[in-house]
Amino acid sequence: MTTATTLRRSPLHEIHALSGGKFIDFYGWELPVQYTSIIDEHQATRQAAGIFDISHMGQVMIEGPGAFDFIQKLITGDLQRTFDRGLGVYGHLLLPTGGIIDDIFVYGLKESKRFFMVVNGSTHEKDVAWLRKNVTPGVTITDLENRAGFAIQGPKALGIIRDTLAGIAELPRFAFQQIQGGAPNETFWGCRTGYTGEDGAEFFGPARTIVTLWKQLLENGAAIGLKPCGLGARDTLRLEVGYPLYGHELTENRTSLEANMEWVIKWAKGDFIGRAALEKQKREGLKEILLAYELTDRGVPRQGAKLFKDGKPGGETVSGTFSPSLQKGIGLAYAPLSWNNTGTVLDVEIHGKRVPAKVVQPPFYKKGTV
Amino acid sequence: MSTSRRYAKSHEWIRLDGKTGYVGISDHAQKEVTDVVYVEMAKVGKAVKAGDEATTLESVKAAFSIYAPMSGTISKTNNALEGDPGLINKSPYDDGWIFAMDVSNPEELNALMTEEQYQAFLTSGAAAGHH
Repeated sequence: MTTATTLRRSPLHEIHALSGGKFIDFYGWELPVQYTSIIDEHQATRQAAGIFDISHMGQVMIEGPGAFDFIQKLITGDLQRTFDRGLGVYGHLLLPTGGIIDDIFVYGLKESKRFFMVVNGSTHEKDVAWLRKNVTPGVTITDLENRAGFAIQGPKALGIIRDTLAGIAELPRFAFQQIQGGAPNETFWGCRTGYTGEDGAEFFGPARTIVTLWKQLLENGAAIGLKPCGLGARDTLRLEVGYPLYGHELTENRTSLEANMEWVIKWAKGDFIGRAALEKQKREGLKEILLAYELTDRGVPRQGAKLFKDGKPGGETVSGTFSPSLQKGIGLAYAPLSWNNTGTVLDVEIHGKRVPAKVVQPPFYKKGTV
Repeated sequence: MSTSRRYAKSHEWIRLDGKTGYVGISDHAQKEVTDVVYVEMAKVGKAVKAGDEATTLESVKAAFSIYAPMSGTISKTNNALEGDPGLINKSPYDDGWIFAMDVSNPEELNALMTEEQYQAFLTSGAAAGHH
C-alpha cells in the first residue's frame, strides 16, 4: 500500500516509537499524539513535568544590518524589548488586511544583528515565503535545516533543567540564551517560554544536540515524574490556559483584535504591515470576538460546535475539549462582541442537543506556575 | 479465551443473557478511543436495528458513535458511567458495559464475530478506520 504523501519525521521519532508513541499526521508531520494517555500526560505536566517534541516548528535565522527594521515592519510586537530586556518577543505576522499569517516568537542578539524566529509547523513554508517576499537590502533569511526542538514544562521542569545544564533555569521568564554545545562551533537556544501555563523552557538547535539533551533531561527527570507528552496533552494544556492555536483561533480571516489579543499589538512602536487595517477596525468597532466558555452541564464541545443566545444562533467554536484539570467541557469561540461578558448564558450545540454554558474569562485553569 | 461475547466490525461487543444483550466496546476500541470522559446515556425504550447508532461517548480526543450490534429495544443503561466514565477504559468487558437491550432477533448473533474471529479481524488490518 502506498500513501499519496510521505510524512516528515522528527529527529526524535525513533525515541518516540521506543517510548510507545502513537503517531498521527499533524500538518504533514508524523508526530506522537500520546504515549500512555492524554490525561496521564496532562496531569504529569500540571503536577511534575512533561517534555514535548516541537521539532515540526520552523526555525528561521534573520541576519544583517537591516534585520531589526525588517522584522519590526512585519510583526505586531516590539523587537526593542528583545534588546532592552533580553527577552523573546511574541507577535503576529499580519497581512495588509490585518488577517493573521502566523503567531511567532523572535529572539534577538543586538551585537551580532542576528534574530532567531520560531514559527508554526503548519505555516512554516508560507511564513518563509512571506519573509522573502518582503525582504529588504541588508537582510539574509536562512530557513534552518536538520533542526529539532522540544519544550519541558511543569512545576518541576526548572529543577530538572538545573540538574542538567547551567544558566537557563536562572533566567527570567521569556528570556533566552544562546548556548555553546554539541559539535564544535555549534550553538543551541534555550528560551524560558512555553505553551502549557506551567513554568519551563524550550530548546531549539541542531538535531543531534537536541536529541542528546532530550535524553539527558528524561534520564534526570524520570524519577521525579517527568514524562514525554504528545500533541493531545499539548492541546488540552494550552486550551486550559486559553492560548491560541494557529488554524483554530488564529487564521488569515481574523485579526489580532478579533482574537481578543490587543496586547500583542504594540501601538507605540511605529508602522508595521496590517497596522492601518487594525486601526480602522478599532475605530469602527468589532462585530465578533473570541470568547471563552465553560459548559455548565455535561458534554464535550468540539471545533465547529454552534453557539446560541436566547435561542438565536451567532457563534462558532474554534477549539473545544474536556478539561482534565477542571473536569468539564471548555471552548473558545468567535461570537458577537456583545456576548462576551462574564457570566453570559449561552447554549452550545453538541450532537444536535443544546447544552448550557457560560462565558468566562480565560485562563480556564488559573493555578498554572506562570 | 473462551467467551460468549460476540463482536461487531465497529468494535462493540454483546453478551446475551437470555433475551437481554449487554453491550460495550472492545479492549482494542477503548485503547484506540483512550480516556473516556463522558458517556451519553442511551434512551431506554428506544428501538434500534443492528448497526443503528445507540449512543455516543466522548474521549479527550474525539466523539465516537456506539452502534447497536443487534436489533431490539434499549432496556437499561450503566449509570455507574455517569460518575466514572473511565470504567470503559479500566474494565471494558465488565464494569464498563454501556447499555443493555432486549434483542428482537437472536439469530442476528450468528452474523457477529466470535472472540477468535475478532482477534483475527484485528490482526488482518481490516479493523483500521472504525473507531
